[in-house]
Amino acid sequence: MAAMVFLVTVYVLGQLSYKAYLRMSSISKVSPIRAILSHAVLCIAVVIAVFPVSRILTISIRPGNRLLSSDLSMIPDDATLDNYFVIFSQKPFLQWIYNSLVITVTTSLIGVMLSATAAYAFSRYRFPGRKSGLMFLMMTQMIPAAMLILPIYLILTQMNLLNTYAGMVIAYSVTTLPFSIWVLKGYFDSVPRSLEESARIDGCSELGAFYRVLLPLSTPSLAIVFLFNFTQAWNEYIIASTVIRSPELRTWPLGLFEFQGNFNSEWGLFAAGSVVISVPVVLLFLYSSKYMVSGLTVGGVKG
Amino acid sequence: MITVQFLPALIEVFKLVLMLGLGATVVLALVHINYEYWSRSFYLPVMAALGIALGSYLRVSFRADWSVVYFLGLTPPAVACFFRFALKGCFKSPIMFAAPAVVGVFLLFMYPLLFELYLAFHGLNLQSLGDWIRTGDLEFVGMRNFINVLQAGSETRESFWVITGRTFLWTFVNLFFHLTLGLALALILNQRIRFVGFYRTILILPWALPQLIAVLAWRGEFHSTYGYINHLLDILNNVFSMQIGDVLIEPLKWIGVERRAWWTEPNALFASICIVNIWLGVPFMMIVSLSALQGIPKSYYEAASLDGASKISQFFLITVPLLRPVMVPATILGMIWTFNNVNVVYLMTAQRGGSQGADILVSDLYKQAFFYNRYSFSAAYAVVIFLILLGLTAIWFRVSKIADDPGR
Repeated sequence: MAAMVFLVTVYVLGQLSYKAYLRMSSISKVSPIRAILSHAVLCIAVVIAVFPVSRILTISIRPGNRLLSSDLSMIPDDATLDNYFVIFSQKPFLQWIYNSLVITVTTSLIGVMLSATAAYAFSRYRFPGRKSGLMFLMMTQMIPAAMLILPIYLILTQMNLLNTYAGMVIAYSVTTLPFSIWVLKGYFDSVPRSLEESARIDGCSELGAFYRVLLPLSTPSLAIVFLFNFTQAWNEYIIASTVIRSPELRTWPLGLFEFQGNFNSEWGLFAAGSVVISVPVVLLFLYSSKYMVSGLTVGGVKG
Repeated sequence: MITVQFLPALIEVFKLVLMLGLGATVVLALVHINYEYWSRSFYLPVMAALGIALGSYLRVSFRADWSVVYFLGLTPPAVACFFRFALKGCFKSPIMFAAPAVVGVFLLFMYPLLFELYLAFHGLNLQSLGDWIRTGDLEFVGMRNFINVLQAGSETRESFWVITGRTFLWTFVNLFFHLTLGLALALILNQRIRFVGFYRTILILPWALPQLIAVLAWRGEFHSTYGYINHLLDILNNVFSMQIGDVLIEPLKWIGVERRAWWTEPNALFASICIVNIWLGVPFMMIVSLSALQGIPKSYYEAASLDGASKISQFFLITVPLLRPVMVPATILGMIWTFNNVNVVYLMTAQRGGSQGADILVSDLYKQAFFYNRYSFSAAYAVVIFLILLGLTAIWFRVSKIADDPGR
């Protein structure tokens, strides 16, 4: 489900940047009163949108001895960066980030590899089972994740795969696979077939035409699929919390959740950790939303 | 000083890559073998025998479940029929390209679903878990789990109907506010005013933030003593109150706006979860409707205003109909998304277990499975939820067809 939401989003973001110049030329100016009212509403919306973020920033720079103060000021008088030092020096925060990175990068690479080959088959060939295969991939997106957790957990228990990354990474990359295949298939459809055909005539093998001609041409959409897999795996909490037990294998959501559990003592650490994690993620999201566009809109996701 | 251990994660990944490589090799080799022998006369009988052999081998030496036995035992004959009657020796390269991913997705979606169905009719709980892992045998209990699901609740479980009602209320409330607030913001952003780009970037923030962090931050703000929300409500009540003689009049309290124990009062908790989820979901709807709005040519409005249409009738006669093709799929998407939202509800309610009177179906399902260890019960529960979702999906398909046809 999240996959489809993402798809619509990326498509839409593309439309936005494309139409930016049209707006400025064609929309008439609004009256001053209306403009002021609009600004007022937007400012309120911005305050609400930023509110929890600002609170987290405030809490993260509070000194440890008064974490639970009911002080409402943005920057407390006795602001310190202690919490940031503590998470890096006394808590295995870097370990969590490292683990998350390892899992996320592996998941994304596997996802991109498997989806690219499958999308190639679905885009370039007509074979029995193609339509039903695509339909099946679409249908899997309707199944709620909550439903699959229990059987996956029990199967992993039975296979003795609990507390390993194997089960987790497979679950992550497979759940995002259908979406990735659809996106890539849409993109491959838009790349002219003649490019590969001429490569074949020049003596390229079938695999070579795919690897040397089609893949380099579709870097933008491969990047989207990579990023999508990346964000999904990076933010995942529920599956990780049921599968991972040992502390040295924890990912950052598990670790931060642990801080939050001890509400009294470690709320500041949670806040500091959140800031460290969020800043790159948010920047990446805002930055990449512009670039993902080209990949998706060119492809025409309709399939 | 804490040091980072680089090895454990890398070893895990190495094992994983090994496993996957092995799996892919096996799949590709099987496809290749099938292509070699599909036309021989012994092909079908051998594959059928292989299925039976595989099934009985798994049953006898690993004591695998019957679900596994049937699933894996029936696969070779089915594959054989596909190769014999559908592929007939052609299409080798597309099958080779598609096989690893499709087989992976098939195994990882179909097998758990079948297993869940199997569990739903058997009695697996914490007591029988050990036996099941050792012997692979489960007691057949028929429809008992389903009856349990639909029965009235107990101390650790609310009644199914209450939760279903709450889920629909939750879906409706969230969707309503996502749509209205998102559309309103989009209409405002679609004007020619300054700083639109800045506002848009900031307003996307709730969506860009990792969900876990956003939700837990909100949860902290809803703390009854130290959270911001209760302070804010106090301030509001102070501002709007009047002291007449000895009587303190606080009109906001009449409509229920006052400090609450958000974490423990069921209704307040539910309200707080709704607020958080609305906060999370508005940016998506805002962006979707903004793009739809920007797709409407300005000339339509110019023509309408030349013909003397008022702003209001322009909105209802031009904007709304032209928004429809984009908004209907987005709405239905949002509906299923909200319905399935286990993260927000689970993180906002007592995470260490316990039903707090604010659970929706999927979060309750998760808690029943992992805090009360009612495995078979939750499997039956999941099947029921799946049926509800199937209904919703059918509606989705119908409506999205209607939405697709006229425009395109």
